[in-house]
Amino acid sequence: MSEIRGQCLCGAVTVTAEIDKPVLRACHCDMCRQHASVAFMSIKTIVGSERIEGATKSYRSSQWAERGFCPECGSTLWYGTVGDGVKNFSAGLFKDAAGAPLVIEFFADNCPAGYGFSGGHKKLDQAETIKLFTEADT
Amino acid sequence: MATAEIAGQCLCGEVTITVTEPACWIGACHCRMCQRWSGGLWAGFPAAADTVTVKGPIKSYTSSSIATRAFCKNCGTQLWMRDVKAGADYDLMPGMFDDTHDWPLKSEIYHECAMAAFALKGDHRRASSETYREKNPEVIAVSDIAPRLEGKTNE
Repeated sequence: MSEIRGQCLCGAVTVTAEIDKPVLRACHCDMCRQHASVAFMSIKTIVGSERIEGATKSYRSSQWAERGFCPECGSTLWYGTVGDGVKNFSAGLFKDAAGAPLVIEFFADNCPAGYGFSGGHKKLDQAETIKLFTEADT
Repeated sequence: MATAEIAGQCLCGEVTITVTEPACWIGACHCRMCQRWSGGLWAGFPAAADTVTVKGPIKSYTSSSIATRAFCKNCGTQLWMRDVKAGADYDLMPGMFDDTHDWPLKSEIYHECAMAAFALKGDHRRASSETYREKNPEVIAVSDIAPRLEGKTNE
C-alpha cells in the first residue's frame, strides 16, 4: 500500500489517498461528458483513505452523485456517491494517473464517434453499466 | 454539411452557449495543465469570438500568461480555453454540445505527454510538444509551469 498525492491546476486543492492496485475507469455518460468535456476518468483508491486540503465546491448532479471541483480554477476533482460518501478522484490530478491501467469504460456505446481509448480493456454499454451499478446497490 | 448553429449548456443549466457555423472537428491536448484541469485529457473545438454567445455565471481562471480557462461557478462544468488577447478565438468544450457527438478528432498535441492509460486510437494528426511550440512560439514562455507544479506536490 502506498500514498498518492495530487493537486488541481492552481494548487489551491491538494488530494491524497492510499492505493493498493489502483485502476482507472472512464465514463462516457452524457453528464460526465457535459461536465468535463470528454469522458470522466477516475482512479480507484482505497475507500476511506481520501483526504482533501483546500477549499472545494461540490455540485449535486443527481439523486445519487455529486461532483467536486476547485472553485478557483475549475479543475475537476472527483465524482462522489452520496449514499456511501465514496469519492473517485479525477485521474488527471496525479502524475501519469499514478501509473494505473485503464480497466473499464462505462457507457461505451455513448462514446463520441471522433475518439476512443486504445487497449483491450473491458467496455460496458449503457444497459450493462446500469445493470452493474443497480446490482451493486442492492 | 455545415451546421448553422449549435447550442449547449452546462450540467446545472445555468450557463448556455450558442455557436454559429462551428468548425465541426475537435482537437485534444495532453499537456500537464490540461490533464490536471480536465481529468487526464482535454478536448475542444475552435470558434471565432463573434460567433459565440454566452449567458450565465462564468468564472475565468488565468492559467498562464497567455490563456484563460472558464467554468460554471455553480456546477463546475468546464466551458472553454481562450487566449488572453482581446477578441481571441474560443476553444469550447465539446461535451456540452450534443451536436459534437459525431465530429472527427482532427489532431492531438503534446502527444508524447499523454497518460499511458489514455492513448487515443485513430489515424488523426499528432504533434509533439516540441513541434507545437515551434509553430506557436508564445507557448514556450509558459511551458515550464507544469513541471514546477509537479515538484511542488512531491508527486
